[in-house]
Amino acid sequence: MQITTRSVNDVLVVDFQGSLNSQTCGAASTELTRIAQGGNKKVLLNLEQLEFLTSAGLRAILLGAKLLQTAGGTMKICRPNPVVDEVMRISGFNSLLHVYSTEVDGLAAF
Amino acid sequence: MQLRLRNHLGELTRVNEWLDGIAARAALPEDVTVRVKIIADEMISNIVAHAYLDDAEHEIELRVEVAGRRLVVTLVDDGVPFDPLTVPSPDTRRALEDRGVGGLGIHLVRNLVDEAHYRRLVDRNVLTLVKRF
Repeated sequence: MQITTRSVNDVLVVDFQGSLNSQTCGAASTELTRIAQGGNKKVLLNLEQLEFLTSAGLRAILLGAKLLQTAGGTMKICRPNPVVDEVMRISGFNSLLHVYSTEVDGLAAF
Repeated sequence: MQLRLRNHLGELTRVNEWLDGIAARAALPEDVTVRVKIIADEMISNIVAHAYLDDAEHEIELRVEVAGRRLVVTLVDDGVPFDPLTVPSPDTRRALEDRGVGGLGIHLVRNLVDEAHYRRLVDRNVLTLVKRF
């Protein structure tokens, strides 16, 4: 599991690589907390390289989203693969966070 | 094919590598492989966290069979009797933080497969999950 960040205009794009599961959710949560408290108000998670996501991973993302919201920011998600998208739909996650099929759409939505 | 695991989350790395090997040999569609990895992660982490009343080492058995376009995943543990299929589904219309602890992983698993069966076999929990593809 790797998390890297890059800036696109005023949006911080967070790229995930690998899997966000019960083994990696702790490290991911630490990183997302750091990002949420880092002063960026617009955060877009790009899941293109994320192979899969479990309930533990969903909780890590949600925690980051809540912290960011508390800090006055907004988190959005883009490019989930079909199974990750299905997992987010099954869990009701996509009604809590906006999910976009392309990065361009995600960036434009802020 | 079967894999015997100890009740540690660290075993999940080995599980994913093992599943990648099966997927390559059986030429499984990528989304089916990913589903099995999610199922294995959810159910094994659940067993590790909740099935045992002692701190001893236990064995968890993971079996995967591919028959035609049907994939059968079986998990066997010697933990306390527990039928995950009786756990009520969380109310996914509510915000995640407002829901009770747990239940989401099992809810995901049930929705990612076509069939789920549980039985208690003497001192073991046997969970069988079927995905058609």
